Amino acid sequence: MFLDEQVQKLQRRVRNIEQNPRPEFLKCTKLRYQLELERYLHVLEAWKQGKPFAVSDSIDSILQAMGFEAQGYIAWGDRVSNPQKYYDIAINKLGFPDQTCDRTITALGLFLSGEVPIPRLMAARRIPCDPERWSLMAAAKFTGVLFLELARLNNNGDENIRCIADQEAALIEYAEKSVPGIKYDESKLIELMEADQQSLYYLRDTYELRKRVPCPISPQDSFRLMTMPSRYPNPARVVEYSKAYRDEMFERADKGIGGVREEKLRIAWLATGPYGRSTFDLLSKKGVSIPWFHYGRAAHYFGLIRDDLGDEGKYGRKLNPLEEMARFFNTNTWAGPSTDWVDPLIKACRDLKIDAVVDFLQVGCIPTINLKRITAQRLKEELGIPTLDLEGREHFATEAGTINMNKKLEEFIDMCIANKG
Amino acid sequence: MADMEALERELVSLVQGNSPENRRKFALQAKSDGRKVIGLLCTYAPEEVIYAAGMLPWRVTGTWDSNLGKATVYRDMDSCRYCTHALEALLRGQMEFLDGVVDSDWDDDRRRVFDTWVYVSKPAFTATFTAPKSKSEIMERYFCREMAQIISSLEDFSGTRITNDRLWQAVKVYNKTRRLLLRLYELRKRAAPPVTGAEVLGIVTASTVMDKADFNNRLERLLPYIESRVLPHTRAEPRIMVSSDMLDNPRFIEIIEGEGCKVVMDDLDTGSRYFHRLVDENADDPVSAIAHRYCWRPADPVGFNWEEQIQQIIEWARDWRCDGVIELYESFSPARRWRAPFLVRELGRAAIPLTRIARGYDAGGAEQIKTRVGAFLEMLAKTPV
Ligand code: SF4
Repeated sequence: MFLDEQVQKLQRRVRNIEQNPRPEFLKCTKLRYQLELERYLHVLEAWKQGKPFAVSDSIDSILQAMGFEAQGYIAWGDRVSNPQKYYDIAINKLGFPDQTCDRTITALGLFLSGEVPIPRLMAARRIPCDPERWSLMAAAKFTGVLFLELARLNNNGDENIRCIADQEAALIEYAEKSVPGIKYDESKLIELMEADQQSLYYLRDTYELRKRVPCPISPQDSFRLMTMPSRYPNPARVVEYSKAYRDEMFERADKGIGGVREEKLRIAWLATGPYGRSTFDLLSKKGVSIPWFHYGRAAHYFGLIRDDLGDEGKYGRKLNPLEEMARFFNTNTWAGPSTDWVDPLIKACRDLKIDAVVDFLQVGCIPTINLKRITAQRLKEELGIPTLDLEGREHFATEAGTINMNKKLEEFIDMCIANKG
Repeated sequence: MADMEALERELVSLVQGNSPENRRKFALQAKSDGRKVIGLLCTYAPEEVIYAAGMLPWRVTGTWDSNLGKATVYRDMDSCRYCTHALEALLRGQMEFLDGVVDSDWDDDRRRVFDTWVYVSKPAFTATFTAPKSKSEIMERYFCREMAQIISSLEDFSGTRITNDRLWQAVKVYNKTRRLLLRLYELRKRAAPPVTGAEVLGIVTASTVMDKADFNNRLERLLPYIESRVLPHTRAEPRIMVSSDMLDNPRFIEIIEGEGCKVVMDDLDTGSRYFHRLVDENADDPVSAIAHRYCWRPADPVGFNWEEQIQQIIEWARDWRCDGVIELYESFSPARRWRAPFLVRELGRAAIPLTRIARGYDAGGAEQIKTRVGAFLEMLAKTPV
């Protein structure tokens, strides 16, 4: 069963770190695994107690402030150990599309497998991407779970913030009416948002450090996404982790410790991290550091987009908590206009002295696949750096496919190192 | 008799209004009249406001041939074909007359074609807006504000003030188009419709590239003739509804009808979804009235409201007495693929026979479509009424 498997996997990881510490990795990763473990144990307990769950692709904090237990969806699908089982449920049994990315279809199969709680409510919005939204919709509509949507709006600005906040308020009203025991607590939402913002500040401090040569973070650690305290049962502990992460990065930077033995190339990696140990090993072996992992939230998390909780500058007024959530929504650069995605990438590449870019394209990923040419051309024109389009799969990569992908990557790295002289 | 022949010729000419040879002519005519032409990638674009600015809203049709050599530099072959064919047309210089382009956030891929469009051809005027994907007062209010923004950019671009009077005039013209098309669709309810499904698709898509006032004159003149027209249908032919998106090539419908059925209704954004619902001409404010119409028009598969979309298909199928539904989905349409299991289940519950057939954008693959349609019609023939 999925949740038990996760608990066992995380317990193993924590033990592993204790028994075989690896100097190139951050020590605080152990705390991170412990937090993940706590989260899964919490879910199991809440499920046993019959508490109401809710799924969203973005507004977990609001759902938690209403008294829902937050449940993973895409992120859980990312972690399954036997994807074929879930693929069979979604595609072979129910006829969902086989042309989509592995992530969305596996998440749907897992959801319909009975191995995770059936939530009382699902909420999706028009971002991060259409397949994610459709996957959530399909899950809800097939199980009869209440489904609510929030439209991400096309144009930014005050009207946008107000409109999203109106939609959030309507969702709260609807959930309170429809699910017994649900009551929105605004102070809880503020508390969660503040914890998230605090973590963000810690993370941002590390942006400067990434400029250093060698970059003090290992490729594998670069791909670890920021943990948002609001998504964990004990947010304060997550803030502690963020601080530990920052402190450790400073310590490594001060001591001149790099994330790879001898840094030869600095790469920005786009969209999704590679899957599988072999790629990380290749990057380390070749002396490639990844100072910048460009994903939907990166630009905001690392301060390239400054639009933060409580900031009155941008809108010329104080936003209410639901508007603050809306503001947070809009800082995601994923699957929006190409400029939202490429402008901060260019800035990060310039700031962090990036030599080359790897655009990692998941098979079936609509938002990235038809943007690759513009991205590569702009990087070339504006910074003079090359881009490699690298296609990969999360779950269903064949061995030959992975070997091929790594070979392509290796050739690109060699070429870039040679050009760098 | 001579009159009838002339009317028939006029009908054929209207049906072919959006053919590759003709669609440019309307745009070029508008240009020579001193008007600007704005390309539309989304059928949610509130055309009335562009029309009120004195410009010609002109729906972008992709190339109808299969050579995609230029577009595939920017686009993956396994993605929305309408987008790829539209970009191909642009890159081949077939839309050099466009002064601007308007698009929405309809879906991730359409957004990308717009991005590429702007990046490559740097049009003088661009606007994007949020396509209303769900029906609510909140979204309607927002759509209104977005329309106000588009109006103000159009005013800046055209130098023409878009007054309420101009908007109301545009609304009258557009509503007239909608009423005329509704009249045409009503004729399809007959046991022996006087127009084929392919002809109807040709007529509706012609309206998307022509000046609506000219289109109205032509269709209005032709309707009495169409009403009296008799086609060699056999009564026993099954009545079919076709459901798809961005389908603008009547050849697809011809292929289906060629297998021995009558396409009497459609669920197309280039068909019934394009013109159903009028703008309320008695409302106080034209912008809100137009916004209301676009927000509450029949729903599309990219929207959040699958139940409503399918209910609409069921109602249309009943009203037009369809024996079955053919979902002729574009092979790479993710929205339709995700919705498919739900559609199959719900039409099954409503006891409406359904077949789903993949298609490209150019009308290649005809043999495969014919085989699948043939099998479906055979199945319908065996189904007890
Ligand atoms: S890989 Fe692409 S399509 Fe899949 S969930 Fe991520 S953004 Fe969406």
